[in-house]
Amino acid sequence: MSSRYKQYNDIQLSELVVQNDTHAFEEFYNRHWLKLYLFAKKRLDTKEEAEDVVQEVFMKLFQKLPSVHAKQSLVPYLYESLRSTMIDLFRRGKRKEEVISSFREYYEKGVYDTDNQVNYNELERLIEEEISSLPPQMRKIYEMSKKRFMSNVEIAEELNITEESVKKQLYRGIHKLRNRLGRKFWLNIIILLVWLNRSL
Amino acid sequence: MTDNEFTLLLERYSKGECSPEEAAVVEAWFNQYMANATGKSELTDLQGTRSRIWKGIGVKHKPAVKLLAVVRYAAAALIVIGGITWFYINHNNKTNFKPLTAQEILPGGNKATLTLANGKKISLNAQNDTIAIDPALGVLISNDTATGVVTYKYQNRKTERGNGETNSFNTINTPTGGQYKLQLPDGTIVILNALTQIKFPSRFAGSTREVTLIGEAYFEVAHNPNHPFRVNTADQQVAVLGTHFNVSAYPHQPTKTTLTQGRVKLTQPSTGASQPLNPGQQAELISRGFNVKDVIASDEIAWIDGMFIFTKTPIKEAMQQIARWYNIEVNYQTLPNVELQAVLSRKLTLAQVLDAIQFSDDYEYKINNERRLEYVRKRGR
Repeated sequence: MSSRYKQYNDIQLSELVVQNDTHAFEEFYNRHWLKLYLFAKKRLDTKEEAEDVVQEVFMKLFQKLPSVHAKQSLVPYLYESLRSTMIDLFRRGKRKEEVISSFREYYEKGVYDTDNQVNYNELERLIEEEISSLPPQMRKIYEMSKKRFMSNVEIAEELNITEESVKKQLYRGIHKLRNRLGRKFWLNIIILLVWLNRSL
Repeated sequence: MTDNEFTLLLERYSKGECSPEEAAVVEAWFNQYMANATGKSELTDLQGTRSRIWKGIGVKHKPAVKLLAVVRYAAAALIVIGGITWFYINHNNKTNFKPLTAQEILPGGNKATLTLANGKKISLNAQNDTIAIDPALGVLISNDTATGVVTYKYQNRKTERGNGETNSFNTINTPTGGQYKLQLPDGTIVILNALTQIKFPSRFAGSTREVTLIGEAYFEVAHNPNHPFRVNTADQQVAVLGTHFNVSAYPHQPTKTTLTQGRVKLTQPSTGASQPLNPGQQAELISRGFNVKDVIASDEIAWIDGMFIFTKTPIKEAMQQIARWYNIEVNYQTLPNVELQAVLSRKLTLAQVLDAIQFSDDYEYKINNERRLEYVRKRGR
């Protein structure tokens, strides 16, 4: 698969996904499947169930693509879909009694946050938190692959120089340009790219 | 509520049939239920899991067949013709073409056409190595497509001193989205920006070295005090002995000359006005003479290093540069009155550039099949 897809952020990637670019879809899947899987696994007994949930979430997304027009990230959609898929499985699954009694208990306490945004933010936090339960090395690789553009290590490999000197170069370059451009500094990513092109 | 009713509530939730209040309760409970989960994930065979799920999703990539450019264009032409035919057959008012996206619009590259004195046209991105030898003039023309440089060289010392005619002019044209480098027989280097034309003799004879320019070019003139170098554009002449400078002289846009090194003298033939220029200065040709201001010269010539640098550049000006490089048309009426600050590589795709210069959340860009870009105000948000 073309590595250029790695360079897109979630919004850019989502735009391509919506346009039915299957390679973009695969990159999108690669970026997000693990979080969903780890999260689902917390309340599911077997690996297979967790795999099925993740599979269903991405399948639904793919089938729904032709009707999606939004020019925004598909990640919130993904998380919401994960939630409703899991709830659906809970009410039908082996542990439905346990699930219903938990829900009942919660409902009858009558103290809960009914702000949808708060609920969503909490869900997002919970899903993304699961990544921190990974062993450090694995987490590092995962985080790296999530970055919009190449990491310093990749850059170093690409340029055949040490990572330290990449850092130095980027710092010097950015510093120089920052001085010139003043405070409005929302372009650092692009500047980084420019300096890369220059040093190549 | 009975257990059954709770089950039904969850069922309605997953079908999206809940009221917002009910949904909020279900979601709040779900978050808490998940947060209290103690299940530990085993982390074995993650790669296997990843690919198993992916296969289960069942997404098939369309085969990416690499075709020759020619075949691709032919195929594209066929599709377009087919599309048009289909359109007419159906008498349908809806357009059925998939709109072009900015993501698909790629930056320009080394492209140019050389027209020899005898009228022969040569596409410089196709033909490598030696292009032509003009024995009468003793000049050898060679081309390197990889670096995008066409070089004029005297064949030997004797031809260098010869007195070939000077009115056999060559022309190089770059298209929109094209740039090219030219080395003249005197060692002068000219870098041509997109949509530019330069006319020059295949060898310099006589007391001056004269070229004519429409568009934008950066000159590194080889020093020769005995034969001044002159760049002629519409109603402006730049005279130099040997310096580095940039001339931007696009039709219907202000002519701007920027000096990076040495000294130049500008004259305006129609009024006789003249203006010396120092390094770091830029002269704009006005109806009577020149307006001179101090600039950061390296920003003005960023394009030769493969960059766009916009420092409080009016968006219209920036868009003119972008349009020339990405071969698009811009509906300038739709641009709001803003200035841009940006440093961008000219290797980015159009979408990356437009996203990077996004100046307001209230506007979004649209691009149609004719490569025409416009900005529209988003409705309520």
